[in-house]
Amino acid sequence: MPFRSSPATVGSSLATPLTDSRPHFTQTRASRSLVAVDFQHVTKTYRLYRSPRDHLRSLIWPVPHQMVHANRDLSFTINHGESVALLGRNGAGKSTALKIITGVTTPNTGEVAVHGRVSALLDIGAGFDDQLTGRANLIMRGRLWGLSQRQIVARLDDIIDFADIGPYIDQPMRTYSSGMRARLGFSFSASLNPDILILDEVMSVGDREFAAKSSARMREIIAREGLTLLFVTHSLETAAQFCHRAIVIDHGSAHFDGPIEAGLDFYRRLSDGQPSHDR
Amino acid sequence: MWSTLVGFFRDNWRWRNQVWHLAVTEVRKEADGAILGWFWFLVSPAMYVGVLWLSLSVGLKTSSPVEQVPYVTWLAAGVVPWQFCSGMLMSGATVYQRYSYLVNRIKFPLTVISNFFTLARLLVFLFMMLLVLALMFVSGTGWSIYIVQLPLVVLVMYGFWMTWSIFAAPITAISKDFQNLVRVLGTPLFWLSGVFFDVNSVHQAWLQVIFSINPMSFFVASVRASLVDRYWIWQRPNLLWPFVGVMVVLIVLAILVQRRLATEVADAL
Repeated sequence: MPFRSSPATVGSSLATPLTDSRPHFTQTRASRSLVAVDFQHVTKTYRLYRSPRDHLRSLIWPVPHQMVHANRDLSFTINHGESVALLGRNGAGKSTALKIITGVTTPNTGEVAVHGRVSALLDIGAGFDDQLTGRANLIMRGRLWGLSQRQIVARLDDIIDFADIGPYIDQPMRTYSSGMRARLGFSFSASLNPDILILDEVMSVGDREFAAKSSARMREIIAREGLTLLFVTHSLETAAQFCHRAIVIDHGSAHFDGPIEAGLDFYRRLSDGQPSHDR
Repeated sequence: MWSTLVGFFRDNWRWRNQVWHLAVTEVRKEADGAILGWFWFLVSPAMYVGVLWLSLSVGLKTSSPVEQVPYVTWLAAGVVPWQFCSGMLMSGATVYQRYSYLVNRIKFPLTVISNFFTLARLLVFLFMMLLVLALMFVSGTGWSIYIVQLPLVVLVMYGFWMTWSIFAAPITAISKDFQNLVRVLGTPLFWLSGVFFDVNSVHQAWLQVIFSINPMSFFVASVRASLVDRYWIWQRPNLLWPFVGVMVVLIVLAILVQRRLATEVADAL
């Protein structure tokens, strides 16, 4: 069963939007609110065309395509200071939800409110430029975060020390192993003092030594008042280690929201009980 | 439509410091990979000028359409802007692939990617223009009052190719067909731009129409007008107004494409 959502429908063209109710996205500073992230009835639909050519045609006239709901009527509220694990099988919609929070993709319907600055490690690549050296990447990303040259220089040594990738820091990132990328990505994201930290399946890449080190750093920043952690992992031990709350997502919507232990049980039963399928 | 346009300006103004920094980083990225660095920016246009000069001037005995200006100088004044334009035609359309991490890993406004990338290419172009100006000075061609148009021409080139990138990059992101179309277009746009002959010496009406709507032709002609051909661009309405028309159409198309596709680009890459 490749697609669980609605059957193939006739797509829209320039004239007709995908849905009638427009999505709403608000972002404010952290201090304004007790709530860090609020999802209300969020639906994110991907339109899948048979070929890129069909996608191009769809700009001009309607083309049949499949609609896949990555998030379907997804609602949850996360307060500042919470550490939440998002659990779910592959294709359940966890990463899509994190992308919506980060702001790199937009929902089709529903309301999303994010209060505070988000630092996200959405994958191993971590938003680095392969052609630039690790050091140049840190400077570039620091600039994009809004730091001045002086503020960046002040943090650079700490980030590099923590990543501990030796002389590779001055080599182009295309030469890095995935472990090195994850190390640098984590060191950078954790150094930004964000209000909301998003980690999507990145802790599993580093070796044991780095895992221990980053766990310690995570505990340290979680202990700091106010940091909100959103965590996607398939390692249930890691989830239990850092998170007090779990949201289990399946077929795009939240099926469980509560204490971590109960959440892990729910997720185990879910993944044992039914055959898994990707979207 | 108006709000989309205001959004462009707001995003680009808000990110202005990063635009400059990212442009400089992009130039360095190109230059740092090689020991000779900046030298390679020079080699490609120099090669073009050299080959065209050898085959046309020495081989076919073509001479400069302007008296007192050596053919090689006249060629360089056209090849340098043309190289910038042809580079932007293809790479401007593929910036989202080049900077995919700014599209779907970090929250970053799409039009700003086109902006800083165009600026990076423009910096290299300006460096080359300085060399052309130096060549003219050294070779005795000298400068004239018409050179004051040059900053304006450069500004229009910056605006035009940024708009091109804002228009073409989202379509390229979802369609390989369009990318191939752009690549194929490069050839006629080069040969029909008058980069190595004087557009005004061609008398076929249909060819004149193609020249007049080819933006590369306009940029080559207007840089030459400032340096070697020596006239004011607004004195040639059949050069200026077709370009203005093309520019307006491109701006409208860019706005429409961004409105329709901006939210789809991150999902498509």
